[in-house]
This record gives sequence, C-alpha cells and structure tokens, in this order.
Amino acid sequence: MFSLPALLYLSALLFSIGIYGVLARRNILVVLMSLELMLNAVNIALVGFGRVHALSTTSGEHGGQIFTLMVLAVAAAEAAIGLSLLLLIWRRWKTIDLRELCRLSG
Amino acid sequence: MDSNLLWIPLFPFLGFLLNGILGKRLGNRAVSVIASVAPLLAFMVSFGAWRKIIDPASSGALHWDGFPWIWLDGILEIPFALHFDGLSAVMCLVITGVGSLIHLYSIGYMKGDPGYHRYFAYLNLFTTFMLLLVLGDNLLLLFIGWEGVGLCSYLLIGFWFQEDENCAAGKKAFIVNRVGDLAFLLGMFLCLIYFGTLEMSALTNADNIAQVSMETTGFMADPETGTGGMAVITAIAILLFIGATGKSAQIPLYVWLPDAMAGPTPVSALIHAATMVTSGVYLCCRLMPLFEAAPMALSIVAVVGACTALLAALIAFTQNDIKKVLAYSTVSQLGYMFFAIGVGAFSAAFFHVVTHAFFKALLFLGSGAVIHAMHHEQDMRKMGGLRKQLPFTHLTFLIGTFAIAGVPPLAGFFSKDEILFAGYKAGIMDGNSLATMFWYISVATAGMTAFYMMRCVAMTFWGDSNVDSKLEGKVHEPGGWIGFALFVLAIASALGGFLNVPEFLGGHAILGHFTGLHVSHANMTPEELDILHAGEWTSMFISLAIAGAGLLVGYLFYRNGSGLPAAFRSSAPGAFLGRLSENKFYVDEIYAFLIVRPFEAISQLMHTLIDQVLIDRLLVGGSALLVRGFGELTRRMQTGFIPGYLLTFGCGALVLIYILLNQLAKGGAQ
Amino acid sequence: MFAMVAGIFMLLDATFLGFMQLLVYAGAIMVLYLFVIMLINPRDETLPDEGGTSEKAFAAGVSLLVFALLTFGISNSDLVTEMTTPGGIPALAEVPATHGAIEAFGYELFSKHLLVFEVASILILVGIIGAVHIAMKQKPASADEEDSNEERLVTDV
Repeated sequence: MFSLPALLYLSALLFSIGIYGVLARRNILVVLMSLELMLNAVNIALVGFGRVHALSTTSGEHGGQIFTLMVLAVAAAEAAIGLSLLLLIWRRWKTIDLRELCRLSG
Repeated sequence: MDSNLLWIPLFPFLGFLLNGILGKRLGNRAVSVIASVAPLLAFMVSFGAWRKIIDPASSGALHWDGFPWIWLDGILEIPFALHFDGLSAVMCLVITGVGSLIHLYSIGYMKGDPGYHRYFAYLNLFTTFMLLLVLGDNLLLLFIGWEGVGLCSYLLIGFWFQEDENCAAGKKAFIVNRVGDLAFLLGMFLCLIYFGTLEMSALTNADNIAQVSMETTGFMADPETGTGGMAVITAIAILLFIGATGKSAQIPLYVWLPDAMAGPTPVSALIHAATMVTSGVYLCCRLMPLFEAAPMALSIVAVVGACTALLAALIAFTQNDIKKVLAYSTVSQLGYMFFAIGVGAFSAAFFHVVTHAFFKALLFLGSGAVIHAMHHEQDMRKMGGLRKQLPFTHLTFLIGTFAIAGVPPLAGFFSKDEILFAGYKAGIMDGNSLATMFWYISVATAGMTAFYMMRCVAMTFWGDSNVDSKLEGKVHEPGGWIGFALFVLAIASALGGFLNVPEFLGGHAILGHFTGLHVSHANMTPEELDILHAGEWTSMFISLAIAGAGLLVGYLFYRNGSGLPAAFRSSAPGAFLGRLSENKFYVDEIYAFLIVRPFEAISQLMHTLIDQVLIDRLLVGGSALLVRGFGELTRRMQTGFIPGYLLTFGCGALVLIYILLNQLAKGGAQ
Repeated sequence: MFAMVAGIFMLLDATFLGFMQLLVYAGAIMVLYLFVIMLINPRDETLPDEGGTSEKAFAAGVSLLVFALLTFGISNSDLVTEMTTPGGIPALAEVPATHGAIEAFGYELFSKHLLVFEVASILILVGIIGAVHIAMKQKPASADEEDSNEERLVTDV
C-alpha cells in the first residue's frame, strides 16, 4: 500500500490549502467549505495514525477511527450552526461578503 | 489562690459597661447609683482582702493565678494573674476609697451635664484600669493598666470635647505619656531578655537580681575593649523610670499635667492628684530591690525629682488659675516622692503618696467647690473674700493647705518630714555632696510650697473681694455630696499622718512595715541609733522652721491681696523672674520649637511627597493609566473584522504547530 | 473531495468510517450547503469581489508557511520514520480481519469510548437546537421542525 509519511504529506497539503481558502476568500460559503477541507485533512491523518497504532492497547483497536468519527460529528454540527448564522446575516444585510460584515456593524 | 481578687477591678468594669451602654436610657439617678456603688463594692472587697492579709496566720499576701493569657511554650508565658500584698492593699484602698468619694462628689458637681453617663462610665473604667495596674502580678498587666489609665485620662481631660483646647489638652496628655511608654516598653524588653520573665516576684528576687547585675549592655562601653558598658540593671531601671516620668509628670514629660486641668475638676482630683500620677511611684516601690541594685539610676531619679520639685514650685508662684496652682503643686510633690526614692527612702515616698492623695484630692475638690460656686470662674484675681460666703469650703481648703505645707499634726507633716530627713541623711549625715545640694533644694522647695499655697488661699478666700459684681449674690456654699466628700477628706488629711509615725517620735511606722518598704534599724548599735534619731529631730526642726517661714511670708504678703512688694516686682531681676515663672519657663515653647515643629514639618513633607505625589498620582493614577493604556492596546484586537480574526486563528495554529513539532523533535511529549 | 477522503479511509481498512464519511459529508453537509445556496440565490451582483493580489499573496504566504512547518515536522520526526516499514502500513494480515468492520467498531465504540460517544451526541443535539433556533423566523409561530433544512424550505427568504 502506501507509507505513513506520504499520507501525512497529503494531510498537510490539504490543510494548507484549507488555510489559504479561509484567509484569502471573501465569500462566506467558500470560507466554510475550506474549513471543512481542513477538518477532513485532519481526519485523514487521524485514521492513518490509528491504523498504525491499531495493535497498541492505549486507545483500543479502533481508537483513531473513533476519534475521527467524533471530529466528523463536530464538523457536522459546526457546519449546521455556521450556515444558519449565514442565513441570518443574509436576511439582515443581504450580503455574503466577509469584509462587509464588520463595516456594516460599525 | 483567691479568685475573689478579680472582683476588685471587675466591679468598676461592670459599672463602666452598664453606664456606657445603657447609661443614656437609665437616667441620671440610676447612673449615679451604679457608678458610685461600683467603687464602693470594690472598696469592700479590698477591705475584706486587707483583713485577710493582716491576719498573722496568713502568708501576708493573696494571689490569684488567673488563666494563661499569652502562652508561647518556653518562649513567653504570661498569665493573667493578680497579686495582693501590703503595697497593693494600700493602693487598692486608696484608689477605691478616694475614688468612691470623688464619684459621690461628682454627682453634685456634674449635675445637669449632658454627658453625665459618659462621665461616670469613663470614671469607672479608669478605676478598673488603675486597680489592674496595682494588682497585676507581672509587668505586662501593670502596663495594660498603665496604658488604660492613660486612655481614660485622655477621654476625661477632653470630656467637654466641644472646645478645641480641651481636645488638644487630652491629646497632649496621651502623646506625652506615649513617649514615656516607649521607654517603659524598652525596659520591659530588657527584663524579658535578661530575667526571662516579667513576673514581679521574679524581678524582685534577690538571686535573680544578683545574677543579672553581672550583665552589661553595650551602651557607653569603651569602643576598643567593648567592656565597661552600662549595667543591664541600671538600664532597666532608667528606662522604667523614664516611663514613670511620663505618667508621673516629671521632667521632661510633665508638660501635660497643667494642660490637663481642662477636664472637670473631680477628674483632676482623682486622676491627676490621687491615683494615676502616683503609678510611677508605685512602679518604683514595687520593684524596689531592682532599683536598689542600680545606684546610678537612683541618683538620676533623685536629681530629676528634686529639680522637678523646684521648677514646678517656681512656676506655681505666679499662676493665677487656681487649678493650675494645684497642678504645679502636684508636679512638685511628685518630685518630692521621686527624690525620696532616689535617696533610698521608698517607705517615705510611698507614705507621701498616701497622704498626698488625701490632701491633694481635698484641695482639688475644694477648688472645685469654689469654681462651682463661682459659676466656672477659675481666675483667682477675680476671687477674694470668699471666706464669708463659703465658710465650710474655706475651712477644708485651709486644712488641705496646712497639710501640704507640713504643719503638724496634719498628714503632710509626717510624710514630708520623712522625705526631708531621708535627704538630710543621705546628704549631710552620709557625706554625699550631691545629695546635700539636692537636700537644700528640697528644703527650699518646701518653703516655697508653703508660700504659694498660702498665696492661693489668700487670693481666693481672704482680703477684699474682686468678685465680678454679677456673681456677687449668687455665690453659695455647695451642699450634698460635694460637702460630704470634702468633709471626709479633710478628716483623712488631718489624721492620715498617723499611719506611719516614725520611731523617733514614738510611732511604729505601721505603713512602712505593712508594705514591706521600711528599712529596718534592727541591726544598728545604740550609738548609731542615737545619731540617727538626733538627725531626725534636727531635720524635723529645720523643715518646721522653713514651713513656718513660708506660711508667714505668704500670709504677710498676700493677706490683703497685695502680693509681692511692688519694689521687688518692678526691679529688674524681679520682673525677669516673674516673667519666667509666669510663662512656665517657656518649656512648652521650647518643646514646640524643638520637637513639635520639626514633626509637623516632616508630616507636611510626607503628606505632599508620599500621600499626594507617590500614592495619589503615581500609584493610584499610575495604575489607572496602566490599565487604560493596556485597554487601549487590546482594544485594537476587537475590530469586528472577521478575516482579521481568521488570520489570528491561523497564526495561533502556526504557533501551536511549531511548538508541538519542537516537542516531537526533542522526542518529548506526544 | 469527500469521496476521495472516503476512498482513503477504505484503503486504510476503516470501512465503516469511510461509509460514514460519505453519508455525513457528501450526503448531509453538502446537501445543507446546497440548500443554503439555493435559499440565498446568489446572483452575480451579490457575489462578493474577491480580494486583491496582496490579500491572496498574504494568505498564500501563511498557508505555505504552515505547509513547510508540517512537512519539516513530518520528515524529521523519529516517530514517523520509525513507522516507515518497507511494506508501509502494516498489512491487513497483521491486523485482525474484522478490523474496521462495523461489528468490531461498534463494539469498541460502545464499550471503551462510551463517554466520548455520549458527549458527541450531546454536542450534536446542541448543534441542532442552536441551528434551528438561530435561523427561526420570529414572528409567525412556525411549526416545531427538527431539521433546519425543512425549516428553511418553509421560511420566506
């Protein structure tokens, strides 16, 4: 199959792309999606490590996967709340520009 | 073990609590009853205790071990213990007896005063502390009583606090006392270090004293060899004596006593004549063995005492306020007592304490009656000829005057005579030239005492009346309790001398033996005894002569209210001395210049420098500025600019990653 | 992208997790996004202008920095290189055959990591309630909808 470092490089790459998206884009939707990308990158790394340490007794056989599941749950909840906030913002100010937000609320 | 002893100070304390807390509601009648009954009860308990210790079967003293009070195992153990021996017994009886009389007198004197209950509460509190002072078994308890009477003195001097000068007088008394207390404390510390304890029995134990006498301090030691410093015993004695000068108004801490006349007259009688000011003398008598082991300290005591007596008498010459005359007279008589201690006659000093309590209280109460009758006029120049209107007061006041001048067989004669003889013996008979000089001073002072007291009586009661015309018809004899107190004290002043009639006159020196202060003549050969007695007769005649001379001169000069011959008064030395005396030798002014003004300057400096600049501006204002500045700095973070926040997150993440990787690289935590 | 990630999970013998990933991400979260986009109905004019070059450069710089740090860490870490066996990740043979299958996974989840599971479920509950409440229209008393998706269908955007 493939080696762990390669997996980790992939994770790092995805993470960095996510950071770029969060910082550079103005569209709130895009930012939220980049956030999801970062979370997924982390998930990859977690599952990889979990697989490597599957036989050690500390976190059980599926420790990494279970952790990943939790991250998944957190990501879902965060996406839900973030999007409802986005809706509120849209209703109020009719914009989804991140930079406009602070100017409007003065 | 006699826990009944506790009741002696406890009764007045309960009186204080009742009157202080509930006094306003109880009404003047109840307050008077409570306040007067309390010291009377204490007197009865003291009397009972006294009866117990004169019983030959008893050990001569009563003791109550009390309860452990300050208890640091092995380091400092001070129980709250009371001790009642001959010395304490006499003091208790005097305090409660004279105190009760003054309480009764006050019922008449303070009638109608709005602070009635407060006055009696304070008086009772004072009695409590004074009793604690004389009953305490260790120096610390004595010191508590010491401080407590100082406090009550302050409270009572400034009783009519609506007037600024009364408050100032109260403050002066307390602060000057405090200076003495500092020395007292230092003495106590030395006792603790070298004796290891503060108990009276330990401090007067001959073996302990002998042991401590070997020690020397570094004070005044030879800088090269480090030896020859002042003995510890001497240091302790001197320090304790300085404390006594504060309380008992000697040089240099007597300045509060004349000002203390701003308080009600019964207060002056009780506190500044009969009891509080004698606590210094009591201290020295209580620690007699300790003082006797420090001859240099005793010399200092004698010198200070004699000089004080002289100075005060000189000032009393020209005072026009009747209470001020008596105040300086008190200072002078206290000087006598310390002089007696200084030449080793503790018994004579204590005897004078007792007789002085009687006749000085009598004089003060008499002056109070005069002041009360004159509607609070105190200037003698506005009196005169009051003999007709106040015959009873006049009689008692005259008895008091003769007592203080030393006219036999009144009380003052015996006690003063003993003091003068002690000086005579120490000086002329034992060949000590320093003592001789001070004996001359004492004799002269005795004459002066007679003189100025005569002046006082004459200006007040004899001659033509200078009374303000408005008051003429309203001057009447005080009745009731005032008269009663005067009567009892007059009797005491007349007969009190017989408490301690010396042997050469056929007496047995009862008081001296009872208090254990008497120096025994048992081991003297008959020839020595004869010489002693001859000396006593000589001294007695000298003192009689000088007293008589003083009285006569005073009578001649003042019987018509004319005063000193005009020629003397207008001559240059006469005028100069007169001015010096009238202005109290400018001592207060000197103190103000040397001590008070620098203190005030320093306080002002502290105020501007530390209070205003440092604390207000730098610390308080500075910390406010700091917080505000920091707030303004951090306010920049709250932009509301979301991408900015995201950037912060990103940077935070960066930092975290970096740190974690560092940890990993070092093979550390995961 | 989500599918890719799911694929990686499968490759790593996390079969259950891979399916969950597909379900949750591709199935629910993406749908959520699509709904929101639909409700917002962005026209060209409503889309924000993207930032200028400087912004992009700055963000690119930060992200490159992060990448550099991470790769540095990965490459220099002893732990990671240790795990680099010639065969890579241990083969399935070295791991029980049921590894990653739903039975083993579920068993471990509900025994060893029960607390975490419960906490996560509370978290999701909070998220649901929060999302519903935040996006609710206040005035018309709308029916109590559990799913915010349906809620949004009803609301007048």
